[in-house]
Amino acid sequence: MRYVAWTLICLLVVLHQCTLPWQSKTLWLGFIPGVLGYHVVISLATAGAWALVVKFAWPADLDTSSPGTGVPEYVLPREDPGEGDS
Amino acid sequence: MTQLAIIIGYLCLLLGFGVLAQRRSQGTARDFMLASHSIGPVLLLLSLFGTTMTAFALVGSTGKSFQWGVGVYALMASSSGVVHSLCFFLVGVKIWSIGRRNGYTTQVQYFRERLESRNFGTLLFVVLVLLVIPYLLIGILGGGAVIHGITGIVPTWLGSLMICTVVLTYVFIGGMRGTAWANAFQTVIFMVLGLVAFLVIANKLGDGEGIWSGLVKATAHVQEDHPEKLVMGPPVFTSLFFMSYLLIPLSAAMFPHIFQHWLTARSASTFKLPIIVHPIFITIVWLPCVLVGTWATSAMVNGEPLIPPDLDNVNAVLPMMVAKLSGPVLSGLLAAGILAAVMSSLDSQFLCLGTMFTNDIVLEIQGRDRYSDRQVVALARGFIVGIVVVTYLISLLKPAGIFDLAIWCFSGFTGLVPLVVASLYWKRITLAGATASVLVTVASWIYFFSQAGYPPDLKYKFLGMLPVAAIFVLSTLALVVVSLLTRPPSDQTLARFFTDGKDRRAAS
Repeated sequence: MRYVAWTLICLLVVLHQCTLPWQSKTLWLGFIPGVLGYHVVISLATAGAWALVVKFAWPADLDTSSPGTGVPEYVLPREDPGEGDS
Repeated sequence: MTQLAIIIGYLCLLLGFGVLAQRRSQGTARDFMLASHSIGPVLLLLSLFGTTMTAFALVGSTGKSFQWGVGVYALMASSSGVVHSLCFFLVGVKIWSIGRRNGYTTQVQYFRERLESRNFGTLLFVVLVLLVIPYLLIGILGGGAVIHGITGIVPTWLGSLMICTVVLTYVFIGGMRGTAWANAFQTVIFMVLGLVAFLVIANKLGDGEGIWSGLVKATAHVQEDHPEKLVMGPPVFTSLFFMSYLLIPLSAAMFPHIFQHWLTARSASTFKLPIIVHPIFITIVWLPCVLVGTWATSAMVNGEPLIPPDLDNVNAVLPMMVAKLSGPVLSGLLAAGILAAVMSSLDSQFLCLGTMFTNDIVLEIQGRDRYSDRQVVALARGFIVGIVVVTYLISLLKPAGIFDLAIWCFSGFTGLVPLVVASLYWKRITLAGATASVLVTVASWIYFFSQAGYPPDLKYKFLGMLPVAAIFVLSTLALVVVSLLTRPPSDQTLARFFTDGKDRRAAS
């Protein structure tokens, strides 16, 4: 599914570049010009595609450090300098 | 006067956030700059969205739609939905992980260690500050234009000064925690009030026959008078030009204030909500603005055009529409909503500048044990005031269109994106390659900007595209070619930045 999710993202980029709806005279709901409606649909579909990416292609090993247990922030003054840092 | 009173009331409310956040503060520099890594998904979503949506998104998009029509949504909004979330996913999450592990507070710290060079960090600091100044200018110009446009009595320079003062105050009092809270609050405010403004304007344009009738009539007027604004095509929109716009939202990956917001996240999973919902939020903000800007081309009141067709200062389109089509109370509230969008970016930018100056320049050069926490915070505040004064003075010179200024500013940041992507995913990147990339970005940006003239506009194209395309390609080429020709970084450094899960667990 991770490949499907990323393929969807790529497809949306391609659809975003499609010029076919540019000259559309249609009015969606009577007031949204065709090209604008087309791009609003792309925006909403993007959210769906990102939901799939987050669900199926999320990196597995990122949340191993719990809040506040990281290496001391050497960058800030008067805190443990660099301990445990390789 | 009613509008002014409401605006002042809103600004006072924001100061209250700073005070509240100060009470919750742990009183340390880390809390001031990163809110102790305590920001959850909803707050991260709202603060990231509020930070990326500037005066550019409201005032700029409306003004540019007045000139170019509904195609502005396709240029920036739908592309940003894809690209911003891509930046959050591919760059933000990884930066959070590395930053958390190594205790980074700013971009400059990360690059200094990744490329094993103190001088590179200083070079990057100077370039980032120079690029953030026009970004600040967008907000300061936008805030002044809105207050002037709505009240009619407060001059633009005073409006800009009010905005700067309030944001500086609540950032100084509340630090990152206050900024994140104010950001979240202001994001909700500008989204809700933005929708209200849209509906009120539609209702007025419908001659009292209701909102739906107003929506239909407003577009019908444009269809009669300016049908070219409802479609896309030459001379403004060409395929190459349109494609090059895809590179503009990439700039978010190198915004120093976004980088700092990423580091405030409680965990990597915190990013999931912003990645999914960000494109929807963009639609909620941009769709009404683009429609209002397009309607403004043909809207009439008592037989007169609502907005003069030859209006020079397109930054004034949204405030003028709001002021002319709503009552004093509502227009005051709507002004507060627009200002919320402006200030929700300025605050993060102010804070980030102060953090970079103290951590990356003063403490790096003078030594980290020389100053107490209190002195560090005071230094940060002093630098922020200096930059804001300079930017404010620039804003008093000949104003530029917010949209155009933003595109140029974002083009510079986009030129730096190959650097951050390569640093995260390409072990072979070298200090010389990174330096070449930054210098090529600066040189090419200056060249193209000088060719385009000032005030900057977007009529200038290079090979039929926005100059950002050339800047991006040149920057990438410089990075890759010079990196391959020079000595790779040490194994020790690579081990710190390209670890597997086991190493990471060991580090924590």
